[in-house]
Amino acid sequence: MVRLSTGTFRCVLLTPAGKLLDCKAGALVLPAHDGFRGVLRNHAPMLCKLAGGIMQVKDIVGRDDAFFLVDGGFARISENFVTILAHEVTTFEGMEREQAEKIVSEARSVLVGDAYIRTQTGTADAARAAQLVKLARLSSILSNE
Amino acid sequence: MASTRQILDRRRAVRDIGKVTHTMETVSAVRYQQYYKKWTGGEQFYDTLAQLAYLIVTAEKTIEHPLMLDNKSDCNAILAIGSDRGLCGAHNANICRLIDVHVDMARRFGKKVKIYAKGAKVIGYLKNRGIRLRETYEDFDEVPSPRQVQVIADDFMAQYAAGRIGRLAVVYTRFFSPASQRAQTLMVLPVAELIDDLTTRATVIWPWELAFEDFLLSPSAEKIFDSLAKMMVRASLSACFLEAALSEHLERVVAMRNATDNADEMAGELTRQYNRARQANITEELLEIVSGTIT
Repeated sequence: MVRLSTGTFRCVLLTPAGKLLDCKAGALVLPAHDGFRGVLRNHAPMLCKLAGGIMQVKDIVGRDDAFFLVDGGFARISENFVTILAHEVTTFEGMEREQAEKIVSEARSVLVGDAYIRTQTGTADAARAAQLVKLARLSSILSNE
Repeated sequence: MASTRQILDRRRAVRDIGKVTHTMETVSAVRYQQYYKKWTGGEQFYDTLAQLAYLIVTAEKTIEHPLMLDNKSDCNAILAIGSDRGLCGAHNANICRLIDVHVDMARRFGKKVKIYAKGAKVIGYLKNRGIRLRETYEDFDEVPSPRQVQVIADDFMAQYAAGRIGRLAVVYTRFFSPASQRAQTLMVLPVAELIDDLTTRATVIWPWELAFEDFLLSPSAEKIFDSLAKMMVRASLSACFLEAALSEHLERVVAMRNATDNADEMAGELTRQYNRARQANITEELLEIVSGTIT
């Protein structure tokens, strides 16, 4: 039987606006360009391009799991140190509940509104809005209906 | 000698100006703190971006990418970033001087220049000089949002890839530290020069983690470099706008602090003048009473 690698590794999320996460995590799910990619301790050195999607950081030492909506970027894995570079990241962490709910309601209005039907750009916005609603569910902003 | 009323009027005017300059100093100090926090927060991002670019371009396999190659176009693009408001020392004057140098150089070498500008002061100067502006950015205040930067960067990259521009240079005031800011030109396209600049400005370029280990690249190096180059151009343009705003506010804080100090000093001097004039009037009146003369 294959044993999964146990233990933690350092995970850092960097954006031009600042460092959004610096923690010791047990597992990481990255939205890679070719699908989701899991990272555990002792992962091989890798440089990977990210696509738009939700990044999940699990089994974080001393806190709950974290979720981020990443709009492309790169992940570099080297000697149990994962650095994620992303230009635009959305997270509900540290956000007031009212503000989070406003974002989610705007996302939902994109999903069901005219913009969804009307334009090509609307399609891109709708995809992002769907991801935002999913992020809200993962971050416990919304209950799993 | 001026009358006491004139001195008082002048002192009031000086104090009012002092209040205005003090307010401007406070406003710019707050904006400066906000931008400085953003700047320090992003430092690690740019360092890591530089490290990634360095790892990719120093790999065994040479990467050929349209944004890396010189496209031999005879037209250069200049993005000039100044400020909308004045009273910030030589901030805009230095930018204008650099643009003049670029325009003169282009004329001498028979090249065309497309100028893109941000900041009312720089735009006004270029218009006065009769230099035609290709585009001005009015849809954001000082620092564009990530989406706005993406639109600007994508436009330049498309022009470069199509051979409509041979180089893209950003003329802005670079913020090295709170003690040092300088107007300079950053060559953004072709990206080879940008990588050179990023890797030499990175604060940590040879840490232990930059050992040449074998990396698994997903997707291929060319595809990664394509995205990396685009991210570098976007991030650099974003950083240029941020640093220009940061430098502008710091320069305004310094200029307005000096102006406030001068106003305080001048108000103090006018108070002394007023007291002296008042005392002289009293003495004169006393002498008139004592000597019994009426003027």
